[in-house]
Amino acid sequence: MIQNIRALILVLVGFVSCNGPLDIASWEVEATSPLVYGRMNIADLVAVKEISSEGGVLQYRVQDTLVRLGVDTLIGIPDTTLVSEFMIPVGGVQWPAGVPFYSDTIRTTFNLDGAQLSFAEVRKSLFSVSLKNNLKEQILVRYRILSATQNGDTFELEELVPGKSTFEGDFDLDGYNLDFRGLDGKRSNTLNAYVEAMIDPNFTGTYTFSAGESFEIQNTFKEIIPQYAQGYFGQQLTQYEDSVTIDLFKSLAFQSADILEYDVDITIDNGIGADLLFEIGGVSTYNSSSVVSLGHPILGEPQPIGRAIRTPGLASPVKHMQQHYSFTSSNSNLDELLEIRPNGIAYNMSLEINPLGDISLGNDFVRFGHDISASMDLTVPLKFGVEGLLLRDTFAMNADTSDSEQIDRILGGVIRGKILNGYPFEATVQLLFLDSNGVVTDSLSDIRQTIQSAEANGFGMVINSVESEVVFPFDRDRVDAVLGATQAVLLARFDTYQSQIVELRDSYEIEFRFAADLNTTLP
Amino acid sequence: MLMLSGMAWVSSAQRLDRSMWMGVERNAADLSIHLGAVGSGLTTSFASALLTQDFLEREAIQVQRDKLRTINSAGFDYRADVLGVAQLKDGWAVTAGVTDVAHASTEFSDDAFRLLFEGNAAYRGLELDLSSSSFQYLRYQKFSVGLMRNNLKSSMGFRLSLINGQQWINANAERAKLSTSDWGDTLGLDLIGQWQQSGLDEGYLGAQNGAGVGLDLFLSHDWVTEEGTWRAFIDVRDLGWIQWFPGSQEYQVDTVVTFYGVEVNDFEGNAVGAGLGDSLDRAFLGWRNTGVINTWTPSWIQCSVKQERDKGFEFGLGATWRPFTVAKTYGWMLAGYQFNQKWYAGSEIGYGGFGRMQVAIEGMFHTRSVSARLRWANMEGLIFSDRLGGMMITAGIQYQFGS
Repeated sequence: MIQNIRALILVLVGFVSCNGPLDIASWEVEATSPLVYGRMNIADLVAVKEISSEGGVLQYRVQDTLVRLGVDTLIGIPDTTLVSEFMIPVGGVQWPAGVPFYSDTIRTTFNLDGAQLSFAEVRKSLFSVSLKNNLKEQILVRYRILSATQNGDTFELEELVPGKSTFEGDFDLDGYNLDFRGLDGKRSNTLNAYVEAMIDPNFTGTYTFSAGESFEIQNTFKEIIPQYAQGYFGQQLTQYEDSVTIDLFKSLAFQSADILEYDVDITIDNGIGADLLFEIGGVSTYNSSSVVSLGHPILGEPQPIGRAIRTPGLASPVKHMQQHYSFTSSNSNLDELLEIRPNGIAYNMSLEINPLGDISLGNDFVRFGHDISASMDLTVPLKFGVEGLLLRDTFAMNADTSDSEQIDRILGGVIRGKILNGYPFEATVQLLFLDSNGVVTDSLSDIRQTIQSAEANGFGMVINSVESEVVFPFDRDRVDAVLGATQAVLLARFDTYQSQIVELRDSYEIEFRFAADLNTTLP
Repeated sequence: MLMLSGMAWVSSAQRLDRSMWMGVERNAADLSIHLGAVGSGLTTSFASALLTQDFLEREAIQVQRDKLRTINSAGFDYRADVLGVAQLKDGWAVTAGVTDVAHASTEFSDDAFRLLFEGNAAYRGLELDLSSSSFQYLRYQKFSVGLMRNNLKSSMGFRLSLINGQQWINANAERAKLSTSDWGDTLGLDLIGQWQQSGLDEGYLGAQNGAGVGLDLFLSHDWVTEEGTWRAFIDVRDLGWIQWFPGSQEYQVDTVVTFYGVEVNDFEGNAVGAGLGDSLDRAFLGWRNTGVINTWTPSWIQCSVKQERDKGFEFGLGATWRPFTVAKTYGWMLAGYQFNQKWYAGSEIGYGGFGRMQVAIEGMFHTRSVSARLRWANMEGLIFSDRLGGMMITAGIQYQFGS
């Protein structure tokens, strides 16, 4: 009774003094709440975009172009500028208007590094002209590129240039045919233009030149990209050495694996009208500590590839020549290359154009968009036996720990998980908590919790998912470490039974639900 | 002659006491205080432990839980009063006073108690019904002036008040059901409810979060018989209206929520809980109204008849209604003995209000200059504190002076 009267007095004093709420007892409650749920599959955890599905089986597929030679690489036409100048050495020369006082044929020869072009259709180009008139009177300039025709018409430019001034203009030759054989038809890589200049025909009377008066023309061909080119492309030998990154094993770590199936195709695609000689010098995979070289009969053996064929009138005007080289378990040791968990594939190869010289008699050809390429297609079905496959996923955590009183009220609890495993191997999971420096501050379980394997038939295919329950108890001492963490890491280790070969299908997944029982005090 | 007087306004948690100033014929000054709480289902022991101990043992919670009915109620009233009466002439008098009032009342289900004091872990696979739960807390001060008239057989009067609203919280759940799945991976909440509160400036006495007006009325009439005088009494008190200032908040909720946890199918940089927080923020914004809120104050309407004698046994009975509270009608009977003109002792038995059967005793001392009253109600809650709940005490002293 004394206690009850004391309570009455406490309330009375509290109200009379009017100083905020009463200080009441705390008590312990056990609350249950769902935490997270979801589904995941190996592809989610691996998080590599090259994971795809083929016939329901997940596969890792990397397609990469190792080499590509296009028209601009084969016959890159360099920017070329020519300057011509006319100057009157003595004064007093009288010249009638409308009669050319200057005319000349300008020949531009391109240096194409061994290639000898005879003909080209222009896809894209830029042609700049600068006409500098140092006379006192306006002149008329006629400029014609004799080698550039379109529907039978020659490219022609006619400009009035006022006295003591310069005309500058940019033009294009897009769609024009260029005849590189010169005026006599015996040259290559040569364009001809004709220029004439006269006093403006509208000028009355005659014009008297003064000594030193001049006229200058400057023409520049730049950015000429052919739609089609023909000639002899020269004998070009190019060496390639590069590597392709493999991301798969960065997030797919394992102690040992037995990979049975894989397929690598290297395809040489010749889209130009010239013969090729292709050679793979070597292929190897590497990680931080080791390198494994590929063994295959074609390595080091030059492979001739025929020239493409013109097919006018068809949907594709060029028929490519292709050569495939396949690396399989029967003709190579590629599985050894993959089982070291490589970070990448390194390769070196060479490509020679016209290995036998000008056997086409100047009829090599190339059409824009029809290139020489070497590409690799690596396919590894996720069908393997594995031991110690480690997958980890990191979640950002943003628990509000600013209210330390509220945190202190948490006495402990249990995080419970229900895992419905659809994969044909068992797994053990562990939850780790990391601080902002990535240092592990705590784990909710020192012992990994086991998730049972799904039920599989005799062929290793899953017929029933199996549910397991995992429990991560935590006490007061661990609350701060858990709530103070900035990241949580789910660490899962998978083992196939006695390294039995299993296949991962896109229909396999793990369904999970986590709930927490929290023991806390109120208020 | 200017005369100052005071008198007491007192009430129990369940009913009003007769105000000593009604019929007073001299000037008076009065100071009184009243505090009481009554609950049906809640025991005094549990409430006492909640207020005096640092930690509530689980056993105490379980004992209390087993005594609850499906729906339970509790009420609390506090009042501190200073009041004066100045006599005029021809039986007229004016009154002035300051009163500090607090009222809290609640209605709750036994499931609500379970959820609050035990959590939902023990009730996985079950549905906790929190419907018909409510809570109201109001604290205000009123400044009153009044006029009354006394004659030999009757008296009547009224008081008008200006009210300063200090703090107000009102919550009610018309329908509230919380279900927890067997394994704890699903929470379901079906809620139709309301939460209202005054502005946040409530941390001190006299904080100005609202303003209003109040009205009190009384009327008494005496009939003289051979057995003494019978006095009929009608008392209307604390009728009032308060407008809570802008900044008050109101949430109207009508929702059904099923919570499975946070979905984490996207494993790239998932921030656990972020989605839930955003959703809740949006939901709260949708439920929330801010601005001015009007409310009626918890009031009293009481009718009673009581015998008045110079010496000997006295009897009485009455009924009290509490508008704007969850209290039920309270009916009571009393019996007392007037020893002489100075001393009176009485007892009362009643039923209803916030509790069930209740017992009270009181004593009064009265001279020409001094009147004093001490009333102890809800004795049952103190004597049988493990089974019943309630405590109430009223004390008042009045000094009369002048001619």
